[in-house]
Amino acid sequence: MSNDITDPSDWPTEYASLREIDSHLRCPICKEMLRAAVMLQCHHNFCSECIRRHLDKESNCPACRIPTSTSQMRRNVALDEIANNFKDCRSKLLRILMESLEPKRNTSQQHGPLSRSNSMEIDDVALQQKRRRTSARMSPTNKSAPKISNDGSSNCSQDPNNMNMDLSLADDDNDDRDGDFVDVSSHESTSHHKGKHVTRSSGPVLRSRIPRSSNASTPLELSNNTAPAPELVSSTLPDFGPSNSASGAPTTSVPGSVLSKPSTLVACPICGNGIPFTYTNTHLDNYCLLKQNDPNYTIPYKVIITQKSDIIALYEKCGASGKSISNATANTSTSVSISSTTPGGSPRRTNDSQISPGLSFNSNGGKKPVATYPEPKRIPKLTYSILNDKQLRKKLQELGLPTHGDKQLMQKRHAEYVTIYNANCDATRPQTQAQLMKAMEVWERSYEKDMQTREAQRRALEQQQQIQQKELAQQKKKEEERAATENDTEPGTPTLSSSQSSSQNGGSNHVNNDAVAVAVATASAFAHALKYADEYAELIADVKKRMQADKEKKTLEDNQQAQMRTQPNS
Amino acid sequence: MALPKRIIKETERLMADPAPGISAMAHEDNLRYFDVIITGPEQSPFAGGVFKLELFLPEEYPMSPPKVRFLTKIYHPNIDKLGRICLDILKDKWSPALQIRTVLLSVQALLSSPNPDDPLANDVAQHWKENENAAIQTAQEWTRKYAM
Repeated sequence: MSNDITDPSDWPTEYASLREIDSHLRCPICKEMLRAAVMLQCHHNFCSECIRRHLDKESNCPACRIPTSTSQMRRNVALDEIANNFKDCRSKLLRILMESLEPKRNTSQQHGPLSRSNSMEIDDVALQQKRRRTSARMSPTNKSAPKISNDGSSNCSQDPNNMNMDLSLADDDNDDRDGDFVDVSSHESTSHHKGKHVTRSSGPVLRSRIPRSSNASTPLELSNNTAPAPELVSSTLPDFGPSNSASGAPTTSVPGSVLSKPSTLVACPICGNGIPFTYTNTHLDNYCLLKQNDPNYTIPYKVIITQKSDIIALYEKCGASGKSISNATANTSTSVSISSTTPGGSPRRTNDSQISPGLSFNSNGGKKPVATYPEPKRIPKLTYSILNDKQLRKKLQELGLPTHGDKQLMQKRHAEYVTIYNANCDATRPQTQAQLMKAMEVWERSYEKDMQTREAQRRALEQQQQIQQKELAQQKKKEEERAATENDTEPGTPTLSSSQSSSQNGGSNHVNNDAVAVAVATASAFAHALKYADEYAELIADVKKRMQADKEKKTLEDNQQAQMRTQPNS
Repeated sequence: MALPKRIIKETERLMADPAPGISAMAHEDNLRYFDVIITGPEQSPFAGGVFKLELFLPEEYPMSPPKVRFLTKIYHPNIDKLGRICLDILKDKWSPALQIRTVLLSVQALLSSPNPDDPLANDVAQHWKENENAAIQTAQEWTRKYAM
């Protein structure tokens, strides 16, 4: 299995659901991960480019044949994001999965399939898995966003060196994607929502593979056993693996002491300031929900995490003075305005005191809290038949495309560009104009090459046809000659009376023999080249036989002539 | 023209996980050309036969269908004496979501259920319609003669 060629069957059979996910994230046409996923009205999904190419020729869905057209296509943004992220993490996930399966396959199967998650051994794998998931940004659209945030914070509490990176990652995620997907799930949850969250967001895919120490309990148990306050940390502990044996220890419910662990700071979903998550409810109930400013925490969370180098000092200072020190840097929009502008679940968020602090990163998405997917302007298709060369050239010029070549080439070039450009409009991670132009250059080259090979093939075919024609002509000629020789030999053989005529024909026989020899040579040469080797073999055998017969005849004639010569002498 | 990833993938899958009764091997010098062997389905007049086919993926594949042809002589109303196959998915019902595997499975299914109402070999279809038992017997004879 090369890295380049991927297939759902790459996944081990133990993880049938991963196979399923993989196959569902593939375009039925190109069998690759969906690129710029679009959905037809029959709800089948394809790469935008693939389905556009198909709809150029046909007007039905390749999967169910329901009539459709490009105008029925709708972008499937969530699916596209999932496919993109799955593509990003696929090889790593697969590698780790295989590694983790190796020892398991070697050891005797002590654990049933249900206890698989507990039977994982390697702590390193646990860590790797964790990092990978965080850095790979597993599809935030699919309820994994909260997980990322959780991971970020739990990671930080474990490893202060890593904290900044992870926090910034989480924040990045929220910056360019909307956190609203996340919000819905947090609303559904009860006071134990964190525990549920982890269970849910890890889902059937990842959960079964998250390595855990044998003494770690399941997420639900943990979150149930621990007090609501340190919930966030404890619920994410299992994800983090065995290193968290002291569950719940890193957190306290005292805001002051939390400050020394900046990782436990989260953004308030309403005001956006950084607050200790254990303090969230107090903060919300006493200040934000009463529309009052919390004098203890005045620094926007975003500012805190962007000033990574000074972060500790900042926290200490802030915690000590309890006063704002970052008025100068308070350039971020306040979260009140964010929540009011955020469509969807956000308005509810402001009224909900049960908001999970770990999730509130998302409300602090900065200036663009919701990733919007504007519909870019697509290039309309042209009816090439009504355009003349000049008009077409002008159209190409307008698009910044080369204008050389005949009308057919220009037409193909325009169609190709329209396809890839419009497909690019459907992508959630669109390519730049320069990349598109590069793709066009590649297309241009391959088209040229294609034409060259086609031309060569055409020429070869023509040559072959010519040869065949020549061959036919030669065969005809041979047949004529054969008839001629047959005519010659028939009267020539039996009697002496015809000796004169046969001697006359002797010369022509020589010529004939030469011609036959040439014919044999050419025939055998062509027999190699052409498929009709059998026929030619027969032909050659035939011709050889005749030559043999001719030779015999000649010797006979020579003898006769010699006899004749001796006769008059005698 | 470079070989599209999809073709490489399909070739790999056909080799690694062949469908029962079907084998397809790509030619080394032309990866778009496949030697195919389909065994006659049980309960059909072609049972026990081993049928050779050729399959070619045109330049436009998967936007246009593969070309498939029987090389072994077969007595079938939808397959003519040149081995050409009358199968809708090889013609107007082609879809790029189909693939080599599905095409060959369809061909295999065609062996199990000849359709004399949509004939390609008229004489065979006629025979099949007039006297199915006799036609099946002929098909069995041909299978024994040419495909075993």
